[in-house]
Amino acid sequence: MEILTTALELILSGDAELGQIVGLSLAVSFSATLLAALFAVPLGAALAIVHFPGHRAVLVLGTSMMALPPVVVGLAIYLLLSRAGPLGPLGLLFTPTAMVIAQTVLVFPIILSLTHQAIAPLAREYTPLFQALDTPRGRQVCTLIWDARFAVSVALLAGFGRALAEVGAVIIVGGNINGLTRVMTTTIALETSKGNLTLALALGLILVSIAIAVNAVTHALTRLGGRYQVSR
Amino acid sequence: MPVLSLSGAIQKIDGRAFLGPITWQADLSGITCVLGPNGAGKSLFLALTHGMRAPDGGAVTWDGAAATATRTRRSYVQQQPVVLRRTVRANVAFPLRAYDSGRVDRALIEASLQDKAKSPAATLSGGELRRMALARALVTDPQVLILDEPFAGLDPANAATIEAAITSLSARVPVLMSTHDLVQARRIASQILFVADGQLLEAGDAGSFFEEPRDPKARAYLAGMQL
Repeated sequence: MEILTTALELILSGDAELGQIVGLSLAVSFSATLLAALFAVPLGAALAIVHFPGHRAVLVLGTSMMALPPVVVGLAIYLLLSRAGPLGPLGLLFTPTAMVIAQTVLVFPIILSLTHQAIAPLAREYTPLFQALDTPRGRQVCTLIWDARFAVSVALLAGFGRALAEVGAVIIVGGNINGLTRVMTTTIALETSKGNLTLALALGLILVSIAIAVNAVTHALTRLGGRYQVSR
Repeated sequence: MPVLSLSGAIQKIDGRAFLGPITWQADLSGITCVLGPNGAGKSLFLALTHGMRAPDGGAVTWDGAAATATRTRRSYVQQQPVVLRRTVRANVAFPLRAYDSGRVDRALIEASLQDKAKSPAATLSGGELRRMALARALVTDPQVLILDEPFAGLDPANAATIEAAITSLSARVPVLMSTHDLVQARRIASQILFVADGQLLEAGDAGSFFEEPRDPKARAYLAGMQL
């Protein structure tokens, strides 16, 4: 109970180190989610309207990638970015950019699969209209994304939540360097092992609060989306 | 008047000829009703004439041009109109490649939906949804209006409203529509196409069709017999 009180005091005191860690966590996770969404959302929508040989295999692969172990992704990115790796000359290892890359890889299949799941039924519903109007593919994709915007936002929030809670990949490619690549999850792991439970608990409380906030927004968006859905 | 021409047109489903071959040509004006029993191929016939489906054999043309290549000149309203998860106004505006507020307003007024323009389309009643679908079909000023069972599932009052709207529209846009309501077809159609077993068995003036149908299956259909 005393630790909890101290942790709360630390949060309320506006501690600079705590603020820096939380800020970096949010920035890295937000950037990774945005980067992944740029490709995953249009691709998820396109896969809902374009069918080709191997279409199902692509979807199965996308869904399977959701179960990628973060440490394996971290290791793969590490090998790519390490000095001897193909992208070594870029000098990105142990930087926030490397963490964004790793999280993007982890979040991409989540956003892709959830977007596709949200848009596929809508695409089936809209197809007769698209066919009748000879709607170009690009406009079909934009229409579906816009009309499924609430469900797509939920997919983005799920991706953001996953990125924020991730620890294995970012600790490998970020190195958990104090003041540079230390984020909430990696700090919790480190400080707990050092016995500094106050900082670990304070960050844990913030992480849980963010998760609850993300969940609340998800519920609100789902309810809002229901207003536009026709019940036949 | 647009000239619709089908020349040996065939439509297959699962590799089997479901519709056709149909050869027929006519200048369309007023209301042309496509009649026939369930599963006769009426919806497929309408989709083929609209151009949203390409024939698997033969040709379908409007004024000499392939129907598939000119389909944006015609509007097609499905039996269950597609409702975009947007406002009524956005639904009506959707077919326009370049947004034109004046056209959308006119279409909304014509469908008596101006008061509902800002509401989500999902909140409309069944009759209002049909009116919205009609407004969406008219916003592009089509050369032909194709309607697949526009009265299906509507109560008498709403069916009468839609019928009045279609009758009024037919003075300026030829209407090609399917229906199961023979009394209504007799009341509003100028031309009848009778489709059964995937074949166009009779086509001609509505009065003659109802007074003296030539095809035995058409006679049986009008007599209420199971085909």
